[in-house]
Amino acid sequence: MRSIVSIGPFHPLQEEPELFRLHVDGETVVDVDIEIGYNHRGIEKICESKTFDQVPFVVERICGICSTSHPIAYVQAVEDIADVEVPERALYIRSVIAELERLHSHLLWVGLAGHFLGYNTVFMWAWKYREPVLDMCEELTGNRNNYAMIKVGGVRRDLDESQFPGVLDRLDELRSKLEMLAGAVTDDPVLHARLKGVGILTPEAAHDYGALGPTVRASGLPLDVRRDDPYAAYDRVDWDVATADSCDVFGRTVVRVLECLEAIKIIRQCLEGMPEGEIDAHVKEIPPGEGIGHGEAPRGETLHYVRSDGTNRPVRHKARAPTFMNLPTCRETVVGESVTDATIILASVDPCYSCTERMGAYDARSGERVLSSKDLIRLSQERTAQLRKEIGA
Amino acid sequence: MGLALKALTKSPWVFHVSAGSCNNCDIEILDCLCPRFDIERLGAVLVGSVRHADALLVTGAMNRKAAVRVKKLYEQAAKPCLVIAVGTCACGQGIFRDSYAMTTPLDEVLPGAVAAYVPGCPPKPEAIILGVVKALKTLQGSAND
Amino acid sequence: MTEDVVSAIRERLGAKLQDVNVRSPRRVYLDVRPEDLTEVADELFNGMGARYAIASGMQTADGFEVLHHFAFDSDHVVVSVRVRSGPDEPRFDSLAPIIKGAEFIEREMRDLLGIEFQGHPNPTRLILSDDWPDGVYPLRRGKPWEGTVRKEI
Repeated sequence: MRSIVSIGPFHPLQEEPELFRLHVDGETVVDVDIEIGYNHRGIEKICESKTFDQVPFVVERICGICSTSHPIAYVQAVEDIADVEVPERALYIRSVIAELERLHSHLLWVGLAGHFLGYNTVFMWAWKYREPVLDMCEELTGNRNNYAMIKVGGVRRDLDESQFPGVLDRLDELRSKLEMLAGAVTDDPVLHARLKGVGILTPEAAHDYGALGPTVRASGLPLDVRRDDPYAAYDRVDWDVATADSCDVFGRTVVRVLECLEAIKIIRQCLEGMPEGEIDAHVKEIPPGEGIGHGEAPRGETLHYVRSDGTNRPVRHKARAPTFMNLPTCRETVVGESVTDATIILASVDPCYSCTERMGAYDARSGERVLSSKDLIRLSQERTAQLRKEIGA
Repeated sequence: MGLALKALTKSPWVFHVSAGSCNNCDIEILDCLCPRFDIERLGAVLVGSVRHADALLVTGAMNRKAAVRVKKLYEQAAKPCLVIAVGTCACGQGIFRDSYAMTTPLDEVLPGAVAAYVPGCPPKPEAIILGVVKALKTLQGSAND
Repeated sequence: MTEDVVSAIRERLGAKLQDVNVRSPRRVYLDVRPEDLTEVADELFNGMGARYAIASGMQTADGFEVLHHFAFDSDHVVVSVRVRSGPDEPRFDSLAPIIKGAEFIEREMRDLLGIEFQGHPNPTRLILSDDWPDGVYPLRRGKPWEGTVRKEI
């Protein structure tokens, strides 16, 4: 398998700051600096010049892979202001789209994690099985990503029920593959050695940082907006919150795989139980007021706050993605660990994929850069190879 | 056509950089590597250093912070290095055009360097591959074939 | 349940609350004097174990306002704490010393709105580019960057 599948955006120059700047003493990470801002696009300001109905198109593009969760959180904030009752059918459709997104997002993560760990077949496998999910998204909504389905008061387009049997068949096939993957992960002693006890985030630290999503659920805290503040159709179908108690990267992996299986369960129930009726409440005006909407994106809670003054534009719109809360937890999870584990630990909160590529390790005493992100990924892959030899797997 | 240029068009080494994108385009670029699309069968390889690159795939709307680095990267690349704008943001900044956080569009940050524009939000992998192929053909002067 | 959370909050913080608005079964807004913010936040976050979700700041007709949003997940309610300031030199106590999750968002509000957070452990630029001038706050009313910031890098 080719080893040059370096997905990085940059190969940084010596003095360029990375997103994650690891300070290392020998093999150990002793500190980490985080610098963000490379994706700052001024979205909140842009939204102030858009009408309430235009905003979903903007926020859909905050994050490509959490594409539905931002519109869902935003429209719910506006629906909160105006006390809108969204029609049943629209609620079910929202859940279908959101869970399809969760599926392809988690599969993407599994693939990347596989790559970072040196399991390139897992990378290819996971991304191969993403394709049918993206196909289903395209058939149902018209696009592989950026579905433009969510609007204030409902959804923009109806689903075509003649497509449901095909979707359900492919989901069944995917489920059997996922069960195979779950088995492989839980049975692989090398993965156990790589991921168990690595990147610990205690429940106390998780609370302190406001950690979200699989990151916090793997620390034993069953926080999930779909359960805690039910929206869309989540309180109308049967499903379980996935948690793990190990607080480590292994736990975060297990939680994501379990959530894929739960997603399939939710989609099936929504498609089979899809109610008839309207898909849009036809909201005409938003009164002055303020509202909060949140949804469970693949990475955790996405929260939007909207203030209106009775005109047709938001006067203030705050959009907070889950990664904003999860990124700083790396101060707890990566400090004290080996550089060989840095990549997978940073990846375990599932930041936008290119974020993990922007790391560098600097000598804690001299400040000189000693390892680039390519080096860090290679070290991780070599560690797996070494363990395979030792364990004989 | 010189030997070096001929080699270039047969097996393009491609470097990918994001100038403040939402990641959708970046993921679709990665998708090109994967079994369904598999650009490696066309000889294209995604490389880890811009110094080895024949083509630079740029995504994102040119956020000020990232744009500085894109410029530096292009300067480090051996020429000819074809720049391909992937996605509506890279083509013309799209909905982010008037944002305070953006600088000028890619083709003004790197004037004369952009060989192909692949619009879409995100463009499908098939479109990205076509964009790369068309850009390479500009070297042969047959971009409209 | 929301009623339990609201009564517990009133019991623990009574005098510190200028206003309690139960906007809906899942949304509560508390108005608090800036000097009482830390105590109120501490009680919600440490005393009652609420999750810190995020803060949102804005410039209003009268000055500035910051809302810190706390989620009581198992009670299915979000409680938002509001502090206000006049128009000149907006300044509030930082919650970062007691809530690590507040560090980033306070730095962001400082960048975009020019609000100072007293006691913040690292009050440095977070998301604006290095070449962005000081004193230009994009989220303030109008387009404060026009005529001040060159488009070209």
